[in-house]
Amino acid sequence: MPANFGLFRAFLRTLSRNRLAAIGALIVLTFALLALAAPALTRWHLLRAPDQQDKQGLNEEGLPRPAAGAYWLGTDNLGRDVLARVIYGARVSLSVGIAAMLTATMIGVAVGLVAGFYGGKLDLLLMRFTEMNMTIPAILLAIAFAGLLEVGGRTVHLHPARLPWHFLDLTLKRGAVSIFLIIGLVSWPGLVRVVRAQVLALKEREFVQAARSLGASDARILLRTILPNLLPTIIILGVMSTANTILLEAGLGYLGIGVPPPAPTWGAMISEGQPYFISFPHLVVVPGLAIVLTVLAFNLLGQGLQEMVDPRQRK
Amino acid sequence: MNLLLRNAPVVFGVLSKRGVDNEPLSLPSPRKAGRGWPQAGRGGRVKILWKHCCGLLLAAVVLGSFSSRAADSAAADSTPKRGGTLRLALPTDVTSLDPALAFDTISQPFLLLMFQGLVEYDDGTKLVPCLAQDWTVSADQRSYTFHLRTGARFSNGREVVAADFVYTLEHVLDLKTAATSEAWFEGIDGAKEFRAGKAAHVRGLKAPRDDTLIIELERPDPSFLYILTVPGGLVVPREEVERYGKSFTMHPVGSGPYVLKEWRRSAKMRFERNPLYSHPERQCLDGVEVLVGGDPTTHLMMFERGELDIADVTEHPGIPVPDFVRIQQEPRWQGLMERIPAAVIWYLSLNTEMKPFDNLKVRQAVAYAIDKQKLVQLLHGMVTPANGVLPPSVPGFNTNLTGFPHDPAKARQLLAEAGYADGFTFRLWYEAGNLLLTPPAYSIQFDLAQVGINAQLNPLAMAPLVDSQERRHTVECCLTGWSQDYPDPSDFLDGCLNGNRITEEGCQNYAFYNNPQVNQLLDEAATCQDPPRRLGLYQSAEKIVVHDAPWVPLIFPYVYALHQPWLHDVRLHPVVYFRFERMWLDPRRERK
Repeated sequence: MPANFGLFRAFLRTLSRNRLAAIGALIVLTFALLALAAPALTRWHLLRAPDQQDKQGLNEEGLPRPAAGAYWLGTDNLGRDVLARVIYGARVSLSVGIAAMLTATMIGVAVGLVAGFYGGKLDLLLMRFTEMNMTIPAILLAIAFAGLLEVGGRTVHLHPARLPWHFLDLTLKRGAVSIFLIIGLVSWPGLVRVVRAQVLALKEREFVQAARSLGASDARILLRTILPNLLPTIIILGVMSTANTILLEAGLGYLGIGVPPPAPTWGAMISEGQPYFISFPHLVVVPGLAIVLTVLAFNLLGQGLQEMVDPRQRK
Repeated sequence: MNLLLRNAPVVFGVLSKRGVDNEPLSLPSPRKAGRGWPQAGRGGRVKILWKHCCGLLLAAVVLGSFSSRAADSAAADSTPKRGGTLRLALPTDVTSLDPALAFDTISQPFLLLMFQGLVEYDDGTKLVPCLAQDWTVSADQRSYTFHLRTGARFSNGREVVAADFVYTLEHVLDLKTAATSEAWFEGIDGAKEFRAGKAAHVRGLKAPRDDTLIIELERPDPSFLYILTVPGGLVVPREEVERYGKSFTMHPVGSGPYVLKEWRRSAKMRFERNPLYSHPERQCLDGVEVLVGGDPTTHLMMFERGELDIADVTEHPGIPVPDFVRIQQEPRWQGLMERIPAAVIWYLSLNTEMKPFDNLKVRQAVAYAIDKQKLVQLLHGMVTPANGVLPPSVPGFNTNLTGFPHDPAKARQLLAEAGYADGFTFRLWYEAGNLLLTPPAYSIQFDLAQVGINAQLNPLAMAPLVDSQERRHTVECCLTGWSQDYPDPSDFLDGCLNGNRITEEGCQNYAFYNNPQVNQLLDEAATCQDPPRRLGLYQSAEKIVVHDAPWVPLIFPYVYALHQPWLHDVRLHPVVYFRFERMWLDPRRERK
């Protein structure tokens, strides 16, 4: 039985045993620290502001500077420092990615718990709804949702026009919050099946039966008895799905419907640099590598965690 | 003409023409804006062509691998050769090949392959006979008598007669046709009654003999001959138009040098020589093949592999901005790039009816805040900074205008005086994916942020963008452009900045600028018969406009044509830009 205590110690032990997971953790940690420290680095003049369009950032012909000298990773077509943009881009990618993962996890776990625990018609209904959602590719659904957003904000009245219930007004505005909500809303179905399967197995176990015979309510059984036992699974799935939410965020940014400019996002950096790819590959390669590294890191970390929880996977 | 074209063929609908009256507009379709009476300006036009020879000689000396090709080309005599197919590419289909329905800068060169009008442009902006052999104008400037050239035939074999012109113009004016350039011809006597259904024919159109056409106008209009060059003035045969109806666009029949042989929508267009064309010496090319699909960057790659003869014919700007410097520096393309100043202005339109741009100081602050030199740098010198409304190649261009210099401190001061010391937030609308406009949009956003103004970029696809811009109280600020329809200042000032022409929808005055003083100057200029005084009036109006800053003039672009060494006589035209029917291929040239 997976233990709830000592999880962190077990995690450290896994990292020391599994080198790949350690590398993953290191990369995630580096990006996270850089992202957190970015504004401070700018204040101490160690890093340029990501939106700063430097005159010196372009050569006489108005072309970007390659990676050398004052600009470690070169500049983009507007004379902005690519290094600064990639680091500030990590802020957007990581925060949106993690917030989206948390949203998706909350929805997915709630649906999975209820479906697995109650079974019957409710289970049937919830699972068919989940499967319906799975048939639509997440990126397409996200594009459809993002299409509803407007730059200046669009207000949708969810109440009859003659009633002044303005608390039901919904403002659809492009920004980091709406983007993570959208990504969260399209990424949950994958979790439901795993959670439901575990709940189905857990609810037949002796300790659940014991809690029930002691007269515990459904809510108590779900939240205090079953949920803690699901925690390791949820954490692993969460880490793994962060890789996907970051990819999705980059995808939306690439398509021009992510967090609006001038906020630096890795996806937007790639799409903006793409026309310059032949002459200035660094505009695409640098944010591309950042995406690859982060996604890889989260996957490695997730796999490491899985081994920690499931001893059968250990070599 | 509306200038939001990147690669999508745009209906500009802007090609409208109205009488001198200043009464409120009752416009036939939402995309029409009124025009005053422009007087044809034929004056000084800057024409810069990059001559082939020096570049090619240099290449011959310097480059081993290319020397034979270059020397060959230098040695090749300039007499046009017959044969070969011109290969081009377009990002999307042209809107239509029916002259009554097509009007965007992308379909125009293709229409000119197949159709002819009474008059055409020479190499500059002078009008020369085409299907009309000569013409006389009556003393009151109201009646034009055209003597048609005999022997001109449609590609179906029938001779072109005067009655065809009467039919063509009535067809364009007919409400049922829903033509895009109809409003241009409303100045013809009786056109309004005809459009209102009160007359079966247009009174002012007469064909007394097969070779004589008389067009009578309601009021004198010195620019009428120019109007005859717009697509609606290209002659079509009645029997074919009636036979095919709406699908005439797929079966176009005209009297031009080429005919449409194949048009697979969104895939390919193929034009071939018209055997009945009266000037076989002008049909050097066997045909023209147009690949449809892809983007300008892809087309440039195909061009560099030798699969296309001209890199980009969408003319805005002719070479993708990101590749411009590379192409310019590549020895292989030396002397093969031509450019001409486009009669186009890109500007920031500030809606004078919407907050906070209804405040003069705010508009001036925005003008002070923007660094135009940076835009020129970002676009690698493919453009020049704009200080006024009229581009350098348009008559009336004023070199003395200085506009607003880049002065953020002054901008901040003006904002404070206007009560916006803490800045404000607004949406900046522009066309999504436009490689020429995106860097300026980002640059303007940054410049404005420096004075505390938060510009939220709002890139939109072309169709919804144009739709919004033309509606009143909708778009507070847009990055947009205007391209001339014919070489005259009225096309810019009267069409886009005359407050008397503001409409609720389909309005070309995107800034909804309404200054009675300017309106009066423009209306006076529209009827002024004295050319120098008229240009003076336009310049005075322009000066007030620049001061009032409903527009922040940004840049005047060039149009570029990058072509293969085996393609000759590419010469960009100041109005039509590309005239494929005048180009020829060197058959000895080795083509992949």
